[in-house]
Amino acid sequence: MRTFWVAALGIAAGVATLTFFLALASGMRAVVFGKILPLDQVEVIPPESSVGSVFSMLGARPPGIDEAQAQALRRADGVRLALPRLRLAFPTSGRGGRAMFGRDVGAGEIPADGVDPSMVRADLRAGTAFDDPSARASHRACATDADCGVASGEYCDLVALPQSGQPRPAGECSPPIPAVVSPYLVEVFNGAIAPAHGLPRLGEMLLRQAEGLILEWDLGRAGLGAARQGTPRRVHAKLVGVSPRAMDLGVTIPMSVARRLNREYAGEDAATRYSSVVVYLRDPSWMTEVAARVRAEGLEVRTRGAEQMGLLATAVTVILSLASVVTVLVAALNIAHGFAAMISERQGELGLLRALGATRRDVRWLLVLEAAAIGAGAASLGVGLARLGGWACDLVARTRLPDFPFKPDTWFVFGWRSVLGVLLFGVAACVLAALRPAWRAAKIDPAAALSGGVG
Amino acid sequence: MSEPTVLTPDPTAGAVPEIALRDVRKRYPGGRAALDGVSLAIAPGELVAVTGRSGSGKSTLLHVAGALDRDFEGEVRVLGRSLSTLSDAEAAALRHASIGYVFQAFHLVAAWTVRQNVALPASFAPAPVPDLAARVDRWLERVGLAGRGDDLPTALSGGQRQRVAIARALLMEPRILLCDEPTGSLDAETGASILGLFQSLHEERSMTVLLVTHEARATAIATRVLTLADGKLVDDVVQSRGAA
Ligand SMILES: Nc1ncnc2c1ncn2[C@@H]1O[C@H](COP(=O)(O)OP(=O)(O)OP(=O)(O)O)[C@@H](O)[C@H]1O
Ligand SMILES: [Mg+2]
Repeated sequence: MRTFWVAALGIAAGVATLTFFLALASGMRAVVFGKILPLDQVEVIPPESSVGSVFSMLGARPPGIDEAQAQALRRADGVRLALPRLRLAFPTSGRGGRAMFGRDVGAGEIPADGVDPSMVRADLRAGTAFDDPSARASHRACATDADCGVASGEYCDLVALPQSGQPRPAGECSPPIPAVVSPYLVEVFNGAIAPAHGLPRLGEMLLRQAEGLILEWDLGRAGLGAARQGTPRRVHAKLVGVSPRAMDLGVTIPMSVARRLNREYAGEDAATRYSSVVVYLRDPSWMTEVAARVRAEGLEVRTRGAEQMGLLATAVTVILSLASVVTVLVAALNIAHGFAAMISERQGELGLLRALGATRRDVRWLLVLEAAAIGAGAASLGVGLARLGGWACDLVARTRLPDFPFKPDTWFVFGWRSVLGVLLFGVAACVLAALRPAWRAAKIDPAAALSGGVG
Repeated sequence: MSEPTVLTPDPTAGAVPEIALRDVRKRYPGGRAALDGVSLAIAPGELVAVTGRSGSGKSTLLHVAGALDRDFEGEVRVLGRSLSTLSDAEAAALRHASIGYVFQAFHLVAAWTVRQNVALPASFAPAPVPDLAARVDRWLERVGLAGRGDDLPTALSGGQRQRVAIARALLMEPRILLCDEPTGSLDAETGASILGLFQSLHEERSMTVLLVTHEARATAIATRVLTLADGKLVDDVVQSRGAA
């Protein structure tokens, strides 16, 4: 009876580690590929070589993706959506969040993309406008935001940047530019920025309730430099939502606004040629084919290290799974020993069964079925232990680990397929382990078995 | 055993013998012969006591005659069938239907109730045994354990455990009952009551019983007494019941 429990616990332990690691591996894959690096989309960019200014100075094709190329991508096989983006081609900086954080949080350099409003509409509250607000501006003169009145929804945009020791530039009231940010940015903020600066985490609810975080946005000048043309000035942007289609680190604004501002600060080419096109695949299996199509268009795919990360995740999965397979194999050896011991312990009983009329086949079946039942029981126990372990780890991670970007709520994904597979594996391991001792036990003459000898 | 009537066994004489051995030799691996040319015939309804010193081959004889050990030389026929020609399944069926065994060590399944232990042979029946529960209770009553069916063997005395084993051996109503020192682990009084049970069972059912024993008390109830020495049959005495 003791050997039985030892064997069963060995199986349970092996199955538990196998299940645990498989679930951890698929949990990590879910985070990496589901949140950090979605595999069903690629970012198409102009070829590196054309970005350099040398070519444009020599009169070569200016950088960017033109409308014809974007259309071609849209029509390619396996492409669900191809959404062009227009990066602001001049420096900007900004600060904001006073209403939410009690003080302004600044950014020395704010990248921004313009996108077609249809791209983010689903992520906005109903009735939220995502267009160029300049047409609606009242253009009333003002010195501060207060002059425009809270009820108007307008803020005091300045025609130039204020300089210390100079009179404050003239202002006029206009509605803020609508902007969305990515969940990625929210994660990075919550995981890295907020803890470091003692700021509260941004929940999606909070973002919505705050009725728009207002950003004071200086166009044409940032810490690193100034625009080649145009007069730097100050406008306002309002955070109106969080969208997975927003750019990762920066703000995403309506395409029409981006065009207008690029035209003002960077010229006509910057206003008409897209900086990238995000191509959404029908499913990840189209990746290679679409990538080839992209290269045929003379464009490139920005990998963002997805391949390397994918490889890493696969390697980690393989290593963890191998470790647990080894655990289970060791457990299986234990099981084989356990069964052999268990069966020789029960020889008297088996001899009795033979004396009472059991055939060799009956004895073999009895032992193998018993092994299968033990395997199923122990494997279920193992799966239960793994779930318990996963739950405990999640609890520790939730309460003891500091926040960091993409910290998942759960680190484990117990897919029913892998759980079923592991259960079958446990049963199969037990049955295999029991086969030899069962055959040997059935071969012994009942007389020898009854007298406890090994025959 | 003074002045014994030595009979030369003649397997061909009279009715078909229930058990017949002809020149049976059995050697365990690495040992000398445990049975060394044994020939004998047991007729239906005999109650045969097998005696001899320890190591003389009594248990071996019982195992060979009961198809528990089929690794021997010579010929053994049980109910007219030669054991060496039977397949494993046929031998199992013969054991199941026609032979009951009672051992010194009882061999009860400790985790099962008395009733489950007695019913065990029915699991190997080719077809479901009709009225199994009633049959089990009938045998429990017959061996004097009425009402103890739901107890575990651990709750019973040695004598009571052996009664459970006897009920189990008789459940399928075999023609042959083989007992290897059934009173060996019991005190004298309890042993005597078990022997009494054998005697009355033998009388009412006219079964063929082979009883290995070294107790004089046991030979007293026998109709025939075989004596083994060093694997040879050295004495074979037919006696009227109650002799010795
Ligand atoms: N499984 C075995 N392996 C090897 N030798 C055995 C085995 N069983 C019995 N023997 C030997 O065979 C001979 C006969 O043994 P057997 O058990 O038949 O004697 P027995 O008359 O029943 O003795 P006891 O009265 O002690 O039960 C003995 O010498 C014994 O040592
Ligand atoms: Mg013996």
